[in-house]
Amino acid sequence: MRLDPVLLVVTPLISAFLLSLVKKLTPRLAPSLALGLSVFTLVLSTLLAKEVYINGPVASYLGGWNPRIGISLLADQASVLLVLLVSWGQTLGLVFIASYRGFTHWPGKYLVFSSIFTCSLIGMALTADLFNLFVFIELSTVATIGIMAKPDRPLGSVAGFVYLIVASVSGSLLLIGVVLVYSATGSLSMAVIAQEIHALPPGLYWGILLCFTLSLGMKFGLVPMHFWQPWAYHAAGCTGAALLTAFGMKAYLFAFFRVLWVPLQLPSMAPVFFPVLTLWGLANIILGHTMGLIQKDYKKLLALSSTAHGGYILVAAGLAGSMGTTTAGLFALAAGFFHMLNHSLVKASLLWVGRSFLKQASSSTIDVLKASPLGTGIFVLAALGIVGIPPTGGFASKLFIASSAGTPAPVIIIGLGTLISLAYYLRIYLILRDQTSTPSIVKSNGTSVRELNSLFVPGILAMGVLFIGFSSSIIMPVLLNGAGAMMDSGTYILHVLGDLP
Amino acid sequence: MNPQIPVFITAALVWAIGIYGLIIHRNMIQICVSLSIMESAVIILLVGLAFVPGGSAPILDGHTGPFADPVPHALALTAIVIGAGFLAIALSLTVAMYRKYGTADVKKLFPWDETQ
Repeated sequence: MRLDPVLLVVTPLISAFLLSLVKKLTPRLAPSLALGLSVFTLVLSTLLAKEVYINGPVASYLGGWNPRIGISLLADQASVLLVLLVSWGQTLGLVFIASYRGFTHWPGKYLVFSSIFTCSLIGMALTADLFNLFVFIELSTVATIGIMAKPDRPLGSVAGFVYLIVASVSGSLLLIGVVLVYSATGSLSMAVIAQEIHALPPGLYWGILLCFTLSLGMKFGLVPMHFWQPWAYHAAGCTGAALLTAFGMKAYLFAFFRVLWVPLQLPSMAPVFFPVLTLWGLANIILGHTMGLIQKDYKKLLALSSTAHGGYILVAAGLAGSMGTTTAGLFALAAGFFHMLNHSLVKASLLWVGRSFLKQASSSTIDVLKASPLGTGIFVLAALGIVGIPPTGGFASKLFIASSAGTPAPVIIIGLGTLISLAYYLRIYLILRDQTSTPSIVKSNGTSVRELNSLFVPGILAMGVLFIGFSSSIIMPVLLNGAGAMMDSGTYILHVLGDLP
Repeated sequence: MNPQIPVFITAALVWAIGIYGLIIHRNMIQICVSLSIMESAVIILLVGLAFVPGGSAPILDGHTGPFADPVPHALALTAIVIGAGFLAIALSLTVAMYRKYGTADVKKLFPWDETQ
């Protein structure tokens, strides 16, 4: 019996309701239950990935409806990669909180909202229906606001409000795009739309493309619509910010690529948009890094760095689209996926290790940050990974993207971005080195021990950056499979619609 | 002329009014109202899309003539529910901010200097 992809969406959704209930009745049980359910989701996603990579994509038709009129999900070699990444992200996030808080009562609604967030991101990866994609994106917005607007963080409510405004504009643009697609093709199924969209007049097609690009661009931080990110991540706190940038941003990018390649059929309908995407990605790199250079706040700096790294992924996708489904094109998109993986690891590591710096300094201003020698060591390792110094995964991913470029401009800008990021991470390192804290290992209330424990997960992630750097030759074939599934819309249509008329 | 065109023009105008309100207002309540107007425009668009001249309600009671497209109606209902949820969150955040800081002026609450 094949594992139904819908289980991956339903499990975290039920977890959210269950955790909400358990938090009311027996709050002390909630953290353990959340971790157990998260590990269960991770096991399911691993089984699904194994199934897809051995026996091919798995489709699920909700209610048994014909996929032309009903909602369908498809787990293919590309979407399971994101499902795995998100499942790992949620589990590691919970282990990280447990490492400094223990398995006692966790205040706030983080457990509930992180489960809803996971559900929405997995849904975005798996859905084969455009309106369903809209619903999952709106669900992720609600969860994001919940993660940001914690009662003990007044700024979080303001940042949550601003994010809500951005998300509402983004949501209405997305809905307009979906409605225009439906009016032109008579379907919401991505596979059917892909078959019918060739008959669209160019003006309407470009209007739809613009709606989707602006809408999803607001979500993943396409310049100049990235302005909300520094404040959102600053307000969310280190734990939540890691969830939003290291994993959430990747899901929006993935959804954007899926929409471009499958329903919108960009390679055949408007291939000229791919070079535009490359240029837009380069603008993200330059603007994100430059704004990061003058930033004085640690979390805002990391948010702007995310804007820049979203640019690297866009450049890879733009290059892949320009080259088409050739070996070089597949390699470029796989390089983008590799950069996604590397960025998820390093950004989560930098934010989670940063939590101990912020705690010790009681501020997020870079000039006053303090760190223990171990914390500084983890920061250095993760920073090497994000800057792209050999032999880390960041070096491999940037090298792969740069080697895919046929012109010198992307290579120069990627190199320039690397130098700028080296400058601002070096500045932080020098401050941490000069302001090294030497906390006593054990205090009567165990605080220092917990702070030490909190370095465990970021430490593992930072080492993971080295690991993926060394094992890029093993990881890339898997990612090439994923890139192939993303770019081959014909196979996607075949797996969703099957032999249906 | 296509009878849907005036509806689409109306939807575009209402959406533009909502966006204009979002841009010019600093008061959180007024921003919430602008959000609501903007979402209404998309609902108008959906209703216009479903309209079929001379069509009846899409109920299978033996009626053989043309009927309105039910899918945009279903989408409109979902969009209304999502919009109501967003508005409720936005208003609750407004109340929380007003209680905490005594103001609903988003400019006073939100320092925009990126280097800070």
